[in-house]
Amino acid sequence: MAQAPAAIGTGPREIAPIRFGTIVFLASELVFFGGLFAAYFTLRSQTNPWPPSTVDLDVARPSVATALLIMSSFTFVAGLRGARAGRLTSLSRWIVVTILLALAFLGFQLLDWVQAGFSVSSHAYGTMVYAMTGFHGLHVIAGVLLMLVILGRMAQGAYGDGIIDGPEAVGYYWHFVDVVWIGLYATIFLLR
Amino acid sequence: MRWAVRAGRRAGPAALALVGTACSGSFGMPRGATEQGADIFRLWQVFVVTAIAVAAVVYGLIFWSVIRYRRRRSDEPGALGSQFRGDHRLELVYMGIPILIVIGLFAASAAVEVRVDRVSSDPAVVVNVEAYQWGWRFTYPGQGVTIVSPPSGEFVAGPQMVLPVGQTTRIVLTANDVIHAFWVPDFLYKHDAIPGRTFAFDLTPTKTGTFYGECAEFCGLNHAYMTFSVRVVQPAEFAMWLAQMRAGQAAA
Amino acid sequence: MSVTMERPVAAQPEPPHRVGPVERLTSTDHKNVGILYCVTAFGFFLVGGALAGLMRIELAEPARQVVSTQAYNTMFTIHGTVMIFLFVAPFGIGLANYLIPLHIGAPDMAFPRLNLTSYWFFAGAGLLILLSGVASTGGGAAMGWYAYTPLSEMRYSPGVGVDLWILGIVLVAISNVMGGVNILATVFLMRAPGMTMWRLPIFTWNMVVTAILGLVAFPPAVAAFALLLIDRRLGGHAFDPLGGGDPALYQHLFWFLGHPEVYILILPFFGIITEVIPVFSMKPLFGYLGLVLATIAIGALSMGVWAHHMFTTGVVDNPFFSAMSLLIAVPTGVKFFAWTGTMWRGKIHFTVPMLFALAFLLNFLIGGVTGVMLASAPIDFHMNDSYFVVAHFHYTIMGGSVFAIFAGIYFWFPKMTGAMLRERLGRVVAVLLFVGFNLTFWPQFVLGLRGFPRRYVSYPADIGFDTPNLVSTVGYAVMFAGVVVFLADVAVSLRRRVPAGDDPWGGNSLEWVTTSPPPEHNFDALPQIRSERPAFDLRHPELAP
Ligand code: HEA
Ligand code: HEA
Ligand code: CUA
Ligand SMILES: [Cu+2]
Repeated sequence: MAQAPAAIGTGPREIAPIRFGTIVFLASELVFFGGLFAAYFTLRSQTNPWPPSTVDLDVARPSVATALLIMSSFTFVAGLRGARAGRLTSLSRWIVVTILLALAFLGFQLLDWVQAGFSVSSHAYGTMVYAMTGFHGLHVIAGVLLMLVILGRMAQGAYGDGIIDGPEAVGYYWHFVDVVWIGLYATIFLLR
Repeated sequence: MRWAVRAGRRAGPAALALVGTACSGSFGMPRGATEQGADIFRLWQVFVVTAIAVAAVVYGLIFWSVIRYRRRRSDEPGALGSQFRGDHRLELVYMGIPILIVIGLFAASAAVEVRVDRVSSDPAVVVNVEAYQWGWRFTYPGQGVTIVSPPSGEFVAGPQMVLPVGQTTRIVLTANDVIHAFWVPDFLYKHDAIPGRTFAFDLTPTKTGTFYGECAEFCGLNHAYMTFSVRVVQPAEFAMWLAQMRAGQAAA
Repeated sequence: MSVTMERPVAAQPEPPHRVGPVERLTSTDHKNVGILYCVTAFGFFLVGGALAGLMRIELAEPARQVVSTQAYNTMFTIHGTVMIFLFVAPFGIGLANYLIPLHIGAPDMAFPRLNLTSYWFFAGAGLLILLSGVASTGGGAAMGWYAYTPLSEMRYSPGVGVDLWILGIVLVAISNVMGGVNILATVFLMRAPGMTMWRLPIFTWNMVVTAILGLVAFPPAVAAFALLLIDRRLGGHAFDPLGGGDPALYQHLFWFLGHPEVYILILPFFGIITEVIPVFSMKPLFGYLGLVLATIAIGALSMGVWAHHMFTTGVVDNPFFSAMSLLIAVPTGVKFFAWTGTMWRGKIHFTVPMLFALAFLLNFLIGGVTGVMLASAPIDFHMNDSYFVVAHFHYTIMGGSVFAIFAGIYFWFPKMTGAMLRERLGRVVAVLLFVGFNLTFWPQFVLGLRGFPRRYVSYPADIGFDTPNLVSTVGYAVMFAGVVVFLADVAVSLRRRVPAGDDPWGGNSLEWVTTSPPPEHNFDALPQIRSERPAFDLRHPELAP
């Protein structure tokens, strides 16, 4: 007995492909940052003193920035919670808040970079710090763009059907960016 | 196509040479002109003989299956083979035997590596080897003797290191620009020279003669021309050579 | 209740749908993307093969005759990069794109648009890498395919060639990650009812492991290349010993990709062989479960062996990496015996795909056992960076993967185009390639043992390097003839079509129950899937489980 073509190949889907794909992709991203961390710790173990004695790290400002970024994870979740309950306006409002927090974080980062007193070319330490915070910053920017895409699609009437796998997937990504930052903060500013 | 013509003329002797090397027991490898090299040579024999045995079994099975179970003219079109799907006992066997072989190979290899890596506390000679784009500097510390490459870019006789036979020589290896590697094929040994690091290893030559050496790690434009040689002589001759060089370089 | 599907016989074979160039380049249909990948990748094989020819001509005789030293150094760099990143690996992804939805009974990949995007990243990468070799001011990329620092740093390689090369590889990596995500999502989420993981064709299983390897291995290398680019263009010091950086760190990050990459270069092709052998032995696979577990074991072990490329650096724990490398022989052996077991007590048909599969077995075994020799650190003290290594990996990749690619082309060309390739020409190709290949690379083992280092544009006469080099070049000429006959075969077969029918071989997996080429949505109807060879069960209901 033949099956109707429409049923072919759909299989049992417990999870939307976009969510599954995002998780797999983030696993890969994790290894990317893992490579950077490995490089950092390798160089750290070979260099004395580390950071070089000329480096004077300000911990206060990055700590505030960290708090902002962690907060942004919660604001995004708040939006998703609203959307799951069918309140799309809540999603858009909270996304705007999240974007503002992300921009504030980036602003702090920029200040940090400008006032660091060393640069990417000063020494291996500088190279690693700028590379790691830089790649993380790029990920934050990408996250902001993704959220703008969500807002744009909402303006065109998307998600009204209750299918919000896209925003959920962006949520996974945003938490990931957050967690990586916590690792970076701990490594660069606490552990050194 | 000059090479095509030459190929024709050489094909016969080449085939003979290939068969010849395979049968002489060295399987194409130089026999190792140092104690360490001779050790590696014996390890190589172990690995080659194992490989040949494994290949003989696997090739044997493949050829036997292919010939014995080829489709014959008398078979109906579409005739099937036996439809069995495996055999767990057989699978255990063909997993178990390679595991045993591999353990044996590892043990042999690890034992040799310990001996090859051993450095004497009291080497008879120390030579500092410094690799650079694209040449070598050999210094006999404390003796005031230095030998340097002539400018390279084509094949010229590289610098020559002289060592006494039967005595342990310590090579202290450094590089001052990119990565190079110090390789004397007849010693069956090479080591990378990495800028920022210093490596030391021992060689104990067992044969006199002149051995060809080369840079084995790609190091830029003239990598292919970064050759040198090692002349191994009797200790007395070595002492004389050293004295001469010392006198010569002191005068210069 | 009858569960057998009526075979969807098209009474009048539809005239093959002509795909216009625009549709070809923009259609997201997985079959189209797959063919795009394979054809582009094969084009890169010709480019890499042409470069190999120039190198072989230069090396036929001692001294330097044909090309400049700088050009030679660029040639092997581009040859290696093109062959590995732009030919063999993408060919595997292309085949996966074509076959996986058919194998699992799905209408397309999970993310069709991502699929086409990853193709264009690959094509762009190809362009950048070719440019890095030729059209770059200050000199082409000439640092070898693994771009060791500090040689690849600005101070020693000032040309923009290296930068273009880095960007190209990064695009390859991104393309691979996209492809990997797509493959995993497709296999895990889109299988037809009844197609459990334990009924997947082995090719598809192998692609799952390959995809995971790519997802794990490429990112650290991207990190390394990004740091290298920062070193080069922004004055960083990550790998620069003069600024406190560490060249050995680069090697670790590179080979953490580089080694799994070589299994990315073989697992899909083990898969092809595993599909071809049972069909032409008229038997089910011997030890399906063992094969799957062996693939997973190879994938897992391959993450722990990278430093066997660094035995002579003196900065790694040689015995550990030696042991891990030796262990990979065990699961690979399981595969070999499963293939042999599949032929055992079969009824073997010597079609062209089967001939290539047999040649694969003979060649790859030599590559494998020589790999085991290299895995012994003391032996590698002699072999490292010699032609013994060059011979080893051409035996695994050219003699292995590429022969499997030819097996795959002869096997699936009828499915992809609806036309058969010519058996008689195919046999000529197989013989020429097999003879030429062994003639080219066997002498390179001899060269390596005698002490000929790789990446040498020339060599002194009369120290035992000339004759093997000459033989090797002659072997190349024979292979060249083989490739030319193959191209002729494709041209003839496409022009004067011998219709293939749905199932010219008596295949096992689902692609053989649909038309050749399959319709846009792949299947009009699916048979019930009760084993790993549903197409066979359909033909032989009396034998089905
Ligand atoms: C398709 C690609 C491919 C594959 C599959 C392999 C497979 C293997 N390779 Fe190879 N290798 C390369 C591609 C590949 N390699 C490349 C490209 C390089 C060089 C890169 C460069 O420097 O440019 C390289 C270099 C390389 C080196 C570094 C050499 C050096 O630079 O000094 C080493 C060292 O350990 C090594 C080992 C192995 C081993 C142990 C295997 C094993 O997986 C082989 C296992 C298979 C078998 C053993 C045969 C079947 C098994 C049986 C029948 C069971 C019984 C057998 C025994 C018990 C022995 N390879
Ligand atoms: C997938 C991998 C792969 C494949 C398939 C090949 C295939 C071949 N390789 Fe490759 N090779 C590498 C990967 C590969 N190689 C790598 C990674 C290196 C190391 C690079 C480095 O050191 O950095 C290397 C290095 C290397 C060297 C060493 C160079 C050196 O160290 O100095 C040599 C020398 O003989 C060589 C030869 C060949 C030959 C003769 C083939 C043949 O099998 C090729 C056969 C192909 C043909 C015969 C096609 C002929 C072409 C046409 C018919 C069409 C021509 C027309 C147009 C382009 C329009 N290769
Ligand atoms: Cu020095 Cu190669
Ligand atoms: Cu490897």
